[in-house]
Amino acid sequence: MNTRLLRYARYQAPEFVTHRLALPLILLVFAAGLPTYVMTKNTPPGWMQSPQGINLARQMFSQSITLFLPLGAFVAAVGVISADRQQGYFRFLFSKPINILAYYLQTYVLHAIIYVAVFGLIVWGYSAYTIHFSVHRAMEAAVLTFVLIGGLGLLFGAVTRFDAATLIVTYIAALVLQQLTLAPAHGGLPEWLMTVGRGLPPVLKLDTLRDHLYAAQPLDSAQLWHVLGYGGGAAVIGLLLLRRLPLSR
Amino acid sequence: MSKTYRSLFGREVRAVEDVTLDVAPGEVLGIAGPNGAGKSTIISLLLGFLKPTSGTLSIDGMEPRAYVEKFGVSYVPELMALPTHWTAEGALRRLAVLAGVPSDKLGVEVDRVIEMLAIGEHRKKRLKTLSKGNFQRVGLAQALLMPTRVVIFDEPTHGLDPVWTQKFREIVASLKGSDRAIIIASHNLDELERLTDRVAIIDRGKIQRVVTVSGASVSTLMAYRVRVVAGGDALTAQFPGAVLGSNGDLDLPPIDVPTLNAGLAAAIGTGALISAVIPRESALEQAFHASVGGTAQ
Repeated sequence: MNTRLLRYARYQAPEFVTHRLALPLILLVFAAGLPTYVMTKNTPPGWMQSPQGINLARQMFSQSITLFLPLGAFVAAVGVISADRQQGYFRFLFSKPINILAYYLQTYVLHAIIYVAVFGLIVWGYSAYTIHFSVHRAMEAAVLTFVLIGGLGLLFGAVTRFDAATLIVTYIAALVLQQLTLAPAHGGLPEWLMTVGRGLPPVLKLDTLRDHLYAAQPLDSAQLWHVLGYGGGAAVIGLLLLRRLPLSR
Repeated sequence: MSKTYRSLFGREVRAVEDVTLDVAPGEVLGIAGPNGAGKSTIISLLLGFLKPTSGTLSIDGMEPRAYVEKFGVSYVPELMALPTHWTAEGALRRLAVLAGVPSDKLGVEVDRVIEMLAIGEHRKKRLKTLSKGNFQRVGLAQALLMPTRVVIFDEPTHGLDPVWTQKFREIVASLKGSDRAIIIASHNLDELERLTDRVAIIDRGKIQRVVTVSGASVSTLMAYRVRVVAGGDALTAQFPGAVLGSNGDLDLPPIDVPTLNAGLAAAIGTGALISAVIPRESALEQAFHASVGGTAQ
């Protein structure tokens, strides 16, 4: 990675926050920030440490705060390569002496770092107002989420301009099929559909890993490697395809 | 080289077919052709944005993408496409960083191109608020941020007013150098004739002919319009096939320069008075029309 690209990160970073992360952050303020503020203002001091307070804080964390993870990863991962291609920005960017793979690799890594850091800050702030949550484990959950969703975003961005729609459809299909697979009698799914479900991104395993991280429970290494391998593999294939496929269509 | 686009359903479109071209350092090559002739495809191939279906391309002995990634190319695309929430100056700063302008010279270099393209009053404006011409000037400015050995302009004066079209010609003249190859793709034959050394005329993906601009006049047959003050009959007698227009101008059929001079001298000798002789079409225009025929738009 050359110094030109590293210097360019100072323009990419603020743009990522203002043009991509802003929306999920605003949603989070309304979904979790305001209720938390109201809750802490309208309860007596120390109530938050009571069993009811702890229960409520945990509920809000799992129902609102953690929404940022898939949403933030999604906005960080899609429309990066596809927008450059579709809008024609690549003609300006890549007539300059920079490596295309390095450029997109830097972009995704930068998005990942900021996304993980922002989630750490959110959890740290929420902890300060409510009860203790491990910022460290929350950031680990964010890393896992980004590896899977970011890797898929890079792969889909390399092959299609409909990367956002493809990612949403894939994510939802994986979630539904994998949940049905766990249901009694596999939810009546035919064998071939179960096979498809198993081959789709391990989103249910990601959920389980995140829950274990929040609850400070040990992680199943097989699940962990499946998620990391799937996301990392998708990213590597995406980069290889990016090298092979023409930018101009 | 050739480039064939294939759809998912197997339909093929031959965008470029058996094109052979070379551009030497110090040369300005024009690429002329009607819409859809393959000009922009050739440029995308040159920048490594596309790969040829067959054949090879190289810049200074290197595969195009490898060359561009190592040295960069000064390139103005046909369509100006940059994120429109960027300001003009912001866009130039970003692209200057990617172009490799050192940090300590960034401000100076950006100011230089802003001044050169006279976009100072627009530097803080978002690109979406700029007129087409001003946006085009930002596009030209970014191409001039760093000296490169390869310059590619695709319809560079598209959207520029006459004043800036003229200034663009001055900029190209200033870019000409013994070590630099310049390629200009344009519809504008007059512009190509003024700026280039050779023009490749392309139609339906094929090079129809390559015209050397500077040496195209003496023996080439050209049509002329003669502004006649008196003695029109003497002229028509010298030039069979000449047509007298309603305004008194005489349109001569295509002839070479010696025939033109001999005919004019004879007519003047018998009393004709002539105020002007104007080529109806340049050699390039003639070659273009002969090459692309009715497909030109």
